[in-house]
Amino acid sequence: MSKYLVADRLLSRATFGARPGDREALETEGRRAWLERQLAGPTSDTAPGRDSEIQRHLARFPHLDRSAREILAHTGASNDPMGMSGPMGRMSKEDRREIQQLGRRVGREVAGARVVRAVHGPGGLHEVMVDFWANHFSVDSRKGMIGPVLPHYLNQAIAPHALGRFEELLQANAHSPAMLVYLDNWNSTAPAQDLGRRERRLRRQMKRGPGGINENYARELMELHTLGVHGGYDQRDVVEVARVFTGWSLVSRSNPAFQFHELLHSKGEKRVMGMRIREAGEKEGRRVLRELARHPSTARHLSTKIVQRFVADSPPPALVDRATARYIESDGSIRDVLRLVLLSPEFTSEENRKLKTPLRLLASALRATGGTTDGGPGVLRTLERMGEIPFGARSPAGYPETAREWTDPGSLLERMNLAFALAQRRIPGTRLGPKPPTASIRGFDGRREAQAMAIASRSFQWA
Amino acid sequence: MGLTRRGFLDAGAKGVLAAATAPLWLDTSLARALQRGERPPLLAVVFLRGAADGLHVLPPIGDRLYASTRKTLALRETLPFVKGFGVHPEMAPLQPLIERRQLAVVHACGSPEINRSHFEAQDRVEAGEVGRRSASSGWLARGLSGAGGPSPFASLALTSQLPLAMHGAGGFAIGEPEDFGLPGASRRAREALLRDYTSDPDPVFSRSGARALEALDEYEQRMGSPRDTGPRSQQGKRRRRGGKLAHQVDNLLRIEASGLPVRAVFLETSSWDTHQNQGTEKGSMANSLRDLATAIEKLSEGLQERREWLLMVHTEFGRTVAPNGSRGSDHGHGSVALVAGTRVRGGLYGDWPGLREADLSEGRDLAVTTDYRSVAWEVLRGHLGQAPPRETFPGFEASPLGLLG
Repeated sequence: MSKYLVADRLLSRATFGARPGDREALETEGRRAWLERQLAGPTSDTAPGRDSEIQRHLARFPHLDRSAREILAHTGASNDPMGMSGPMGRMSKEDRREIQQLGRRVGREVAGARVVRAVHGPGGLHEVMVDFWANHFSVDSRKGMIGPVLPHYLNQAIAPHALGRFEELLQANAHSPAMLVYLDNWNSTAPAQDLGRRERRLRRQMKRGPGGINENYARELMELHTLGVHGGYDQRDVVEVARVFTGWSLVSRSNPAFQFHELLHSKGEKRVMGMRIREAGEKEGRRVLRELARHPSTARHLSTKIVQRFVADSPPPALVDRATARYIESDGSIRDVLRLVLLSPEFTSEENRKLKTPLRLLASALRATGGTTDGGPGVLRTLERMGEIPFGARSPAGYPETAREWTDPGSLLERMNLAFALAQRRIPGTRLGPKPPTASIRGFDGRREAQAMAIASRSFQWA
Repeated sequence: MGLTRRGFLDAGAKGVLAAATAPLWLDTSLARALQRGERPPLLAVVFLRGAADGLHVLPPIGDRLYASTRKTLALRETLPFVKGFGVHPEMAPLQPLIERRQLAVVHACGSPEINRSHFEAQDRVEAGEVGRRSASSGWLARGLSGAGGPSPFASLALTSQLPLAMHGAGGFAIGEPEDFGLPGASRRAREALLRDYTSDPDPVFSRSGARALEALDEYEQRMGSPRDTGPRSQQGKRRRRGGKLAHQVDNLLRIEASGLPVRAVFLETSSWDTHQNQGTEKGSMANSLRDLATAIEKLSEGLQERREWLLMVHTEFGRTVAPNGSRGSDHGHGSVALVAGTRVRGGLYGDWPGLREADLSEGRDLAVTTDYRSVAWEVLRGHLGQAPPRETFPGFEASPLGLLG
């Protein structure tokens, strides 16, 4: 086993790839100290020179730090309160189209910024975990109205909690306009039989439809976000959880910020997995999220995914057991679970290989050579074609993680294409740097061809 | 009593004989055709990801509970299909096929298990399994194993990534034909990469790498090399008319016409999860159905008089009968499967389970009366000219539907 294996593994899996000098720096600092600094979060390791390069690239994305309300300010987004005009608001076709186009533009900015941060970001593990949770809580920026709320989603619902406690991440996510829109919960309302006489009369006056729950969020909350598909819930629980979250919606279309609408909320007690949830308005949902975050099935589901991300496509069961136990005893501390996994003997075992996904392959090639990307249309098109553009997964399950799903012949050919397109500067706005990655295929001396062969080689494809 | 004992026996014997000989005749005629070097019917499998609403594809307008149970989702206008069932009006491009009786619809079709998770249900359907998924290969790959011949293009997915249904028997994915290639790489570089990839300890990686590089040669002979300069083109996208599925059919027809030995293809779209604003005669699902119908019509037109073809359309499960709170429908159970092609006997197949609450699956969804595997099995059989390998659907006995004549 190479003397550098531990350092190389940490850099290639716990960051988006080693930059020139990273390995030596890690060796000098020591594995544990390095890891603690990474686990501490994004405030550390901010070399000013690199930071300004990031800022220069990010300055090209004007919507990144704006609220959805600011982004939508000059559009025709309806400002009728959600609870009054009904979920669809009253908007002309032109206004809808305008918002759709604006949304796509903002979506491309946020995706581009993700790529810039992966390549140029100083906070290695934090960026990796933002990517991990953005994929765990996947939303598709092409779905209507998602784009304008995407900056908020990343800045408020994901990044601050990426290394923190899972329950806080989950609560932030459940309250986020992006998830409420993506999984349709903003339109999930109490069925008529769950309403009191007064609410029914009010609804009639507002000419709202009959109403009814939408199960989409409730199901994915349990299946994908927390318990896992065999986590111990059934269809009745899906309906009950959907009732719990009725009324979790937005202020209005022009101000898509979270608001709980009592009038749309299902009255009465709910029963979720044998638990009685007393009628308590928005608090019911908070309670269900807390119980779900603490559930042993959630501990196992998340631990399995983390081990699969960092250690092996088939997660070693003993490590999953230990990570699950650590999750439970630490009350869902993501940081504690990561520490255990990244310091485990399984992490450095040579047989546990991980294939880089397209984004990781691209970022690591640029980082290894000291290259640069502007996160613009060129690089996004490349990632889209390879099947991993940020916030573009077609399903709420996000992008796949295992090698099997990225190694069909066509996909491997795309990976080779990436290497040649990078080396021959065919991706506008994206350049490899001068440093050659370690060559594992000999006999190619021209710099561009040597770089292409090094990136395409199998040893560079695996992390 | 016009039927004598003798006559009865004759009729019975003939019936039995007909049942026994029809498939045999099919087998031998196809076998002979194959011996003559003729190509088997092109098999196209279309997967509608996201759970397509079968009650919108083929609305049971004759069921007296249709309007009252579907409420705001009930269609008022449909195209004629068979008594009691109409076809969604946006599927009008299928009318020539319906008139030629080359479109079969299997209603209340799906997997016998109830599983409302898209991802798990898609995985299981693609793996061809019921219950927990254990196979790492797909039903289509297993069904075609041994049939494809040496060319990597024999089974082809017109998608950017190879779907699970085609994993296991050397299937290949080509998203955009123009983009398929390795521009800028010298022959020497390709050869070096081939050596490098085939020495990888992971057999999936090494096999795929070898297959990818070997396929390039065959592809370039037939389709020419891609442009050697410029960033990845989106030419295919720009040229796109019609929807995503229609575009995949355009790509397929170009690849097929080049002479690459394509036998079976997989196509997919993913816009079927209509939790919100599903629409009725018009709307989001209507747009998806228009794309589907256009795609089928293009395939039929494109291959007409050149080659026989056979197509199957399926989805992972259906949707709730009643609308949900946001003018859409939630995850249900039974849906439809469509089968079309030059040898298909058009019409309606499968038992109609009904819409009374007691008839519904778990009191809310259309029940499943035909296992999708029976449809897939028959379609594969039509393509292969013989029974598919037993491992296509392990432990499953297909019930004959008689979709092919």
